[in-house]
Amino acid sequence: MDKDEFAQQVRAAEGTLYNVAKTMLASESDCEDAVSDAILSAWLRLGSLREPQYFKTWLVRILINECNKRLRRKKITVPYEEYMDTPAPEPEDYSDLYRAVAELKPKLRIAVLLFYIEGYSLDETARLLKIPQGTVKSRLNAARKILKERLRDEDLP
Amino acid sequence: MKTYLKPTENFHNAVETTLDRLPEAAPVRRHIGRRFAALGVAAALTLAIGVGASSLIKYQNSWSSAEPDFTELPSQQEMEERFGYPYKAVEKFSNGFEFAGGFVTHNETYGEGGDHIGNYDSLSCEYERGDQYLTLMTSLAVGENATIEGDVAETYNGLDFFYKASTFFLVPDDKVITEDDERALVNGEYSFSFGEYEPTEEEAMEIRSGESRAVFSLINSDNQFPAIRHQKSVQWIDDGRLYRILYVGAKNMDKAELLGMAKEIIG
Repeated sequence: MDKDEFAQQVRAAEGTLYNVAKTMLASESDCEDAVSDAILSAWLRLGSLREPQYFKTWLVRILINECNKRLRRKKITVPYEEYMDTPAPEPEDYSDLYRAVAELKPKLRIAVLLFYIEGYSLDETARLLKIPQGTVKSRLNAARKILKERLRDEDLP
Repeated sequence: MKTYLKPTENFHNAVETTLDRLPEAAPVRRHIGRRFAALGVAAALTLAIGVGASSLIKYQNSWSSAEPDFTELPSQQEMEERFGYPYKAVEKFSNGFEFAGGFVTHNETYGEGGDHIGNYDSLSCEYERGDQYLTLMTSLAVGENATIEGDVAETYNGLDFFYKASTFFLVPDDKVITEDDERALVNGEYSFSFGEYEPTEEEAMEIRSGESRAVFSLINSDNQFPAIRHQKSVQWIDDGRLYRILYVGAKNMDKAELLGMAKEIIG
């Protein structure tokens, strides 16, 4: 994979990268830093990508690692205003869904994002998060119960 | 798929800027680390990877959880049982940094062609002193981890310390950086200021002397951070293990202090 192809694949994954980073970090500045480091790390370690068709999944995993590094360093509470800093909602945006998911505990939040919103399979979600499939299932079950309650009056996608 | 979140313009710009600045190829590193004790490394690798495989390792991919695995520093025996090796670490440094959590770092190793060689675990420790944090990271000194970039800062008990420093000046992303700005930053001449931060003479000296590399970091103009961030590290290889102390923070830490911490770990 040459540099142009790498860039093309990264751009194609931009939406997913933002969803993942924003779900884990909330702060826009941290999301930008994490994705920059993830892209650079991926480029430098391109030789470790065994199957190019799984580029996006591999890149998402690198980004999750970068987000975890920042979460470990941060150790402070993000102010509410910064945490809820989202773009102005468009009529077609599911901002209520985002807010409901954002209120979940981090472990549930990222599982929901990857499985329901990004469409990864159970197996892929388990591999990305480095947890057993059974754990993914139980987190999704727990998240569904909470989201059903919070979005009772909304139409889930 | 319906829209969940749309990337902000700043996020998109961060992606594009990073892609524009990618190096043409992965950096070439000079092999300047100390020769490791082959027996010690081989013993650890046979546990998870296979005899003779260490020479095949080119890359390592590492991760650990956001939550600590240890709330107390593991004893040497606990480390032997968990990692197959008693990594060196201290509970408290003489400069006040104290152990704040230990993490199991999971490492995947790959060969030149991207083939998976094997996995192993190593220890990472976080330390805190008031509002300052730093991390002690460990890994096997194989493949790309067998080399450390830079010049030897000091040799202690036969071990070479490699020191690296960068000073990030955070500026609004609509700031136009001129050639004069770049030159002044490299020379440590602060006749201007970005944001409300005025670098100290000590910080300016570090950059002028070449001890720290100054870098502009463009950020969202509504930033919540101080306008400067120091990133400093000390690395060394001991008995086939790569140790790295990494500090990132707004307050400065000087080179002597970090090198002193490395010496306390070595003992």
